This record gives sequence, structure tokens and C-alpha cells, in this order.
Amino acid sequence: MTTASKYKLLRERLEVAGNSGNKAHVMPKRGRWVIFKEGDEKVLGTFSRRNTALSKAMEIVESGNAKSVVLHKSNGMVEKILTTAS
Amino acid sequence: MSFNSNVFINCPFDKAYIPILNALLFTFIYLKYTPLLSETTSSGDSRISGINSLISKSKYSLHDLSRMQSTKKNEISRFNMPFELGLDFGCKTYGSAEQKTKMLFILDKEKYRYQKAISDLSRNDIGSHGNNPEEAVREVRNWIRKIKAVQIDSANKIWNLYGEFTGDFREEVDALEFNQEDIDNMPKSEYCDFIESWLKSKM
Repeated sequence: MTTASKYKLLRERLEVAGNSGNKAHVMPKRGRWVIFKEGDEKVLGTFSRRNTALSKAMEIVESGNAKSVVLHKSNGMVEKILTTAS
Repeated sequence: MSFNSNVFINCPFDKAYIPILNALLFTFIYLKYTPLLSETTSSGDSRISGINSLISKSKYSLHDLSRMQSTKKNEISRFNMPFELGLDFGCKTYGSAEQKTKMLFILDKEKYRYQKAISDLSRNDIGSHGNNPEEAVREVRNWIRKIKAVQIDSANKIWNLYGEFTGDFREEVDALEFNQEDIDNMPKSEYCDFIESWLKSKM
């Protein structure tokens, strides 16, 4: 696949990516860490430590209510995406 | 591009500022504005004429002065951001009737630091983000709410959506095995296109 076609494909995939709603996020919010599921504004938990939030978020994956966890950095950028297999 | 939806963004482009810039670009696009950055000016023009062109065709502007002060020994202050803010004020003051309607928002990292550096700015719309992208989103969202006087989504919602976008973007970039250098150094105009593509899935 050429680089140009990869960019085109990335654009096409992003046009539907927001519909999936199958990831949980550990995201910084006002100095704390929150868990939320895509497409749902409801906060599932608020924690002072990111590791604690990540453990709770992984439980959501293990229970089958999310496909993966997006672990964000304190600046909002993505550090990594975890699944039960990772 | 429409004058009434264009936002000129005057900010640094260094690596440390990227998390704030990405969050601001997402916020403006989500709120139906078109961000214009000086990195997108044509290389055929001088940089200053390119900046003047962006300023003249933008009703709104965001000027982030958070990096105007030198932080390392022997490094002098950075004047580009205050200079471009001055150009924008000039356009608003001396420009056409349409340009006199321009609305400027100034961001800094600390609330009252600008009073020491540019005291002439007192009584203008000024916010502070504390070098925190979430606070930058909140400040911009609240500024838009104030000037438009219509109900818009909360900063919390926009911040969560930005998180969703970054997660999906990372997932797709990894799946397509993009070179990380290409992603990190992508022009911001291209990054904005990807934000717009992703937002289509949320409509």
C-alpha cells in the first residue's frame, strides 16, 4: 500500500471510528483521573491516582463491557491502548 | 473559508506546546470554527504577509502568550506572539468595517502575568491555562459561549470527545502501521482534516 493510499484509508476509517463506542478511557480531569466509556458523558469513577483508575478500567474490559482501555497522559495525549491480552 | 467562522491561532509550534494546540484545534473544529495557523501560509509569500492574510480574513483570533518568556539561560524572549497580537489589534482598529468586528482572545499560562509584560492589554478578554490542555479547552469554550451567547456543549463534554478522538486516531494509526515520525510531524492543517473526518462519525 502506498503512503498516499494509507492516508486516504486513515481518513475513511476515522469517518466511522467514532461510532464504535467500545473503549473505556482513563483521562485526566481537573487534577484527578476519571473513567468514562465512549459515547457516554457519565463518569464511571474518579480517582486521585492513575494506576488505580487503570485497574478499575481494566475490570470493565475483563467484564466484557469494553473492548480496550485508552490510557491518557496528564496532558490528554494517548500513552497506550490496553486490552486484556496486552 | 468564511470570515465569520475563521479563527486565527497565534501560538508556538514547539513540541511541548503540541498537547495544548491539538486540544484547541479539536475544540474550535467541534464548535464549527475553522482554525487558521501561520504554518499553513504559502511558502511563496513572506511569512509576515502570510500572517497578515490570515489575520485579515479571520473574525476571531486566539493569541497564546504563554511562551513569550525565555526559560533557558542565554535565551532571549520570543516576540512573535506579542507581535502578531499587535498586528491583529491593528487590523481590528484600522481595518475595514468588517474587520472592526474582530474578536480577540488572549491566553497565557498565568492569570495576571500579562500585566507585567503588556499592561496595555488590561480590560481585554484574557484567560489562563496553566499549561494544561484541559484548561485551555475550558477557557476557549467559555469564551465562545460568552461572545456567541448561545448554548453550546460543556467543556467536560468537549474534553471527553477529544479523548475519544485521540484514542481512535491512535488505534487507526497503529492498525495502518504509520511511521510515528510522519504522524508527529504532520502539518496541523492535515491533522485538522482528520479531526473533521472523525467528527462526521459523531454527527
